[in-house]
Amino acid sequence: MSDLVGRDGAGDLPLRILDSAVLLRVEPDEVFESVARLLAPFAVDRINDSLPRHVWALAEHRNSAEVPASSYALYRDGTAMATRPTWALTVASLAAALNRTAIDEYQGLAVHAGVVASQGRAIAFPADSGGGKSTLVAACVAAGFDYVSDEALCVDRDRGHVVPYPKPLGLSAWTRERLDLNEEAVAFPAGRSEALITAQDLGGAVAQGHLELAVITLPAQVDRLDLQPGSAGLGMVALLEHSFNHYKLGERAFTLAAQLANQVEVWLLDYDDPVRAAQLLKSRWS
Amino acid sequence: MTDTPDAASHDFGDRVVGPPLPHIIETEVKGDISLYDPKHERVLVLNGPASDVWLLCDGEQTVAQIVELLAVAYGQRAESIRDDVEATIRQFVQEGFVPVP
Repeated sequence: MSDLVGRDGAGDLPLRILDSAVLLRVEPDEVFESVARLLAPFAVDRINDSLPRHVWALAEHRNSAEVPASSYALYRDGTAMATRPTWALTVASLAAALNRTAIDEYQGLAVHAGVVASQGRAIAFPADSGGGKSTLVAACVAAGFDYVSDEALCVDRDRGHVVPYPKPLGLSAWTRERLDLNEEAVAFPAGRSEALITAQDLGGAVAQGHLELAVITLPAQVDRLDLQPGSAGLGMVALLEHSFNHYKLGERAFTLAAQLANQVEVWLLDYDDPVRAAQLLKSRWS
Repeated sequence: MTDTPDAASHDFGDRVVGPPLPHIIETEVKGDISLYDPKHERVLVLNGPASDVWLLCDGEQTVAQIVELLAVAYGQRAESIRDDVEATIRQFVQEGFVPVP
């Protein structure tokens, strides 16, 4: 059994993911080990009863005695959420579902962004899905930055600090090849076009504790490498445009975005190669 | 915007602009102004010149006076900035940050 995680009982993994509490139940031990490794940054000894709590379960589902083929099911609070033909795909569904729930239940400001850190200072890359956030973040972690998230910049609504959200990175085959990741060492579920990996798989580490947002970098994939200063207003627009939940926070989202825009440097990053871009960022903010 | 035909379609150089609607929340981001309309959950992030225009929409200046003041401040001829200033004020009006002048 992995020493990375606490367990309530056989196959149980208690987690705290942002403001959500999760008790995860996984049947086969070998799958449990892989899932526990992916979710290790969120593992806790016991679940805080004051948080919204969900029980997620992964289990093999045999269709019938006459039909020996098995499928694998994902349950939330006893309700089947998905059935998939392989464990790998079921775990991928679990990761996506946990992400949606965590963002939905987060009480602070959540902005669609990749985030890395150096010496307690966070650098955010606000961008839409498909904008290369995960690849850029992975390249930065491989270059020596600490991993914060490939999905969301999570900001405490009262104090304005960054809360790490180190979910498993979802990396394409192209990205894994570009970063020279060893497919044998990486991952679960290996062999899919998109694999889930950890910061450790990249040779990096997860950022710990509360971070100060120091830099907003607005990335654009174009045919050159360039880093130019941008205005605070651009940073503010990026935070609000890419926010998942500003509408829930109302005026507080506005004042928080203004507070953050006032405290950060804003940079415009043009890049074509994520590895070279990460090296450029590292040379500036290491 | 159907509720602001005057601002959109007429010369309003002699009209007094502002003050901002009372529910509008204003904050400064590194010297520039950002605006939030909580009724409509609308945000306007202004650059430097637009921030200057906004600060002069105080209910005391006409559009023409705002143009003149900014022309002096920027060392430019009023004719060269009038279109931009008026377009900025129209945006404030159309997006509901100041009343129709």
